[in-house]
Amino acid sequence: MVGYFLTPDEHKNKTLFASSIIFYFIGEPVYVFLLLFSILIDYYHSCVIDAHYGKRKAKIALISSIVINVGLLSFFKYSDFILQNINSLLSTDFPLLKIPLPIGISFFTFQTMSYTIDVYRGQAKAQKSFLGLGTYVSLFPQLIAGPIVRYQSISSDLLHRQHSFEKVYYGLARFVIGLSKKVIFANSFGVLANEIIGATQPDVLLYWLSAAAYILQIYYDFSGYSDMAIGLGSIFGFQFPENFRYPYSAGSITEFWRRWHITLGQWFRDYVYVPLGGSRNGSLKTGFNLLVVWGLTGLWHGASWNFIIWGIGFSIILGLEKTVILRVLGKMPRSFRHFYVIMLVMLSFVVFRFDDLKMVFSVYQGMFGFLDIPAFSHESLYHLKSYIILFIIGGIGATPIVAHNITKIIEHMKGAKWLGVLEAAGLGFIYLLSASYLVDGSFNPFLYFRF
Amino acid sequence: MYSRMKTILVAVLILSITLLNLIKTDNEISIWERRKLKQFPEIKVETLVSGKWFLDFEDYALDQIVFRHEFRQLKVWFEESVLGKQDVSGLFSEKNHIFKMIDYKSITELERFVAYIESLKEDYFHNNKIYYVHIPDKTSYSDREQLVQMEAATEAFLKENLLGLSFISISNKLSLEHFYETDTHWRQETLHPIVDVIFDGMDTQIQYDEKDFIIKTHPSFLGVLYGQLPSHREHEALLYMNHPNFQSYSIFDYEKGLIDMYDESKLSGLDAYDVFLSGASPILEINNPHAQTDKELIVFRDSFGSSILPLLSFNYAKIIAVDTRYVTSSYLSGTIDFSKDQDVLFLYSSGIVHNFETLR
Repeated sequence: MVGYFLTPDEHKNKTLFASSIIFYFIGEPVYVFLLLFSILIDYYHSCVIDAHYGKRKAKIALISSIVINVGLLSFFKYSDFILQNINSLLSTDFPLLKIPLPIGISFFTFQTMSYTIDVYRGQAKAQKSFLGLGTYVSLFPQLIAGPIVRYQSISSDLLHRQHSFEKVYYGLARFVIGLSKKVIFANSFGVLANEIIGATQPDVLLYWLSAAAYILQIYYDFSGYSDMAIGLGSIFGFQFPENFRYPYSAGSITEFWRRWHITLGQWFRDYVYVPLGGSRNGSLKTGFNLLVVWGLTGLWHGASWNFIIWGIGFSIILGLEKTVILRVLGKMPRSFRHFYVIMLVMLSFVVFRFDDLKMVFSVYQGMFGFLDIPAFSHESLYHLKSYIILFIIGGIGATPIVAHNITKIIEHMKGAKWLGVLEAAGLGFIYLLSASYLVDGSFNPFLYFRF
Repeated sequence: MYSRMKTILVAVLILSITLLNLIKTDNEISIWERRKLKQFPEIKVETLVSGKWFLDFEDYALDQIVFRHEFRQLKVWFEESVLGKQDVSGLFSEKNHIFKMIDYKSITELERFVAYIESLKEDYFHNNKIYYVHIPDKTSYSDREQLVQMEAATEAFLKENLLGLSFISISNKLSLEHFYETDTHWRQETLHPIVDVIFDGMDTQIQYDEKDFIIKTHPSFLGVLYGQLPSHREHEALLYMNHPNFQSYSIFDYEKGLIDMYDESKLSGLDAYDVFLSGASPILEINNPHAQTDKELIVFRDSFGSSILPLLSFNYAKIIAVDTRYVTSSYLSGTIDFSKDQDVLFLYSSGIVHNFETLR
């Protein structure tokens, strides 16, 4: 970061590109060539599209780019899943490839595809500089876990961007808050969520605690990472799109998906749902389109049937909401609508969480008392007591209440120097606290790294 | 201006920690955590390409970070005092003591421990008097009812299922005061009533006079639990009881050779509790030339044994202490003569009973 700010403006992209490649090399020494290949492919194809804009050659280049990108993603992410299904369907015995998944491939492939498609559509100008495109694709803050940044949203920033103390401070604050969301909240909820796995004497309460902890874990994990990415982006002068807007405060699943992993939802809307016809061709076609989009959204999350089922499940809920439920929900009190969302999200994430569908079924049985287990035990009450404050803080933190009130106070006290010091001190404390969790923690998985 | 000040404040904090890390020299060991710290990983092409170097570097950076102990203290404070967590990674504080919860096994699993003791009995002891002393875990003297019940259930199970031996219960004689505040172990200077109960169960009596002991004090003891749950607290005293007779004892450790009853060099080491019989040992013999009997005692023990064996030693000509965590039980037949007039005492803490896989 220090090196970046010491670099003259005209060379800042070089510094960013080089540090992004080093960053990726640290995590994936071999696959760094895959990343460079992916950039090269889309650089070349976008140049061809640009040179032959509106002509057949442009279309061929677009198709070629999509085939290569989808091919790369399929090969590295889905080949074993495809082989497994072929083997079980045709009783064949094709050996699995067992290729390690390149970190962030789902994110950078979607970014490069969106770029080439936008160039084809005339919504973005082709980047003439390989370095420029390389910097966009490999930007390390969002390279491995999003948000999925559309080229057109930062194309001007890539050429000329402003750096300011405001942006740096905002970036530091977002980064520190994101870090704390990940290492303090997500990891702590993760420990409780995992209590159910291997529990010798589970009970109904423990199943529910685990499910509740899991939805908070995944929210804090993923939104924390997005915050860090947005924060780092701001420090470097970029404005990345928001990826989460308090999804658990939604009053319907439709609203939930407008608040959860926003950039992925927008990607599928713009590049799959709308081209398929969206909701323009009657309810049957709309239903089919939803099914395709959400099946693919599920598949994007992982090469396993549980993800596909999870996605399709949402397509059904969204279809029902479009036709019936939203009208009914509109007449219900706000608290009921939140309850409805939280319950459905909690139940759906059980499918998301376990790739073994037998386990999913067993968890549902446990949650609804269909297993021969007690309603609660000393162990689950102990966990409840131990995590109650974290649940309260985590639950409130997942709503806009805290941010809204802090913003209000800051606005009200604007100009008070002591408030600035207090704010910085608070941020410093959160940073040190996060560092203490990193130093003393062994449980530190980034759930979304597998995508 | 306003943003500039805030930015500078936060940036200075972050940069100063980075800078201090660059300046700081690496430590070999962590005294509090009682372990070696990761050192800067050697740079090799193959570890760079495989990505292992970067993982090693991450471990190294976390181990060597400046103020590591203070960071760990901060986390414990936050989890205990702000989040109100019932335990921090299985540890909790209460009544100025640190407790570490053991992973209690089910009764079905404990049957394997009983089978282990049975196999030792069948292999080596046919005509001996055999005694079993169960040392309850320190947590059973906390205010946590569930832990008290788990410990009571463990003792009841062992009492009922360990057949062909005399079970001696000391749980009612022990209390929290018998344990160090920052360690799992018991305090040697408090063990006279326990020794009394054990000997009572073995139909013998204490053959020393408490007044003859010379109490020595190590004033700055912080036990193993402090390293695991670091919080601000005072050092406590570790007392050990020397006796004029011990000078003429011959204590032979099968690994280290001749040792003293108390190895004071250990007081400045990683674990001051190792002052008792030089710490862990697979087999050791304590020969007491002052004994008024030829009787021997074979003790199967864990680390709790180290501090109580000096007090048991007065009643026997020889004590053979075996720790089967460090030696396989099948090795014993060629090493120890089991044909003499010997009592046999199993002296295991609950932590070992519930982690019996470590016994070989």
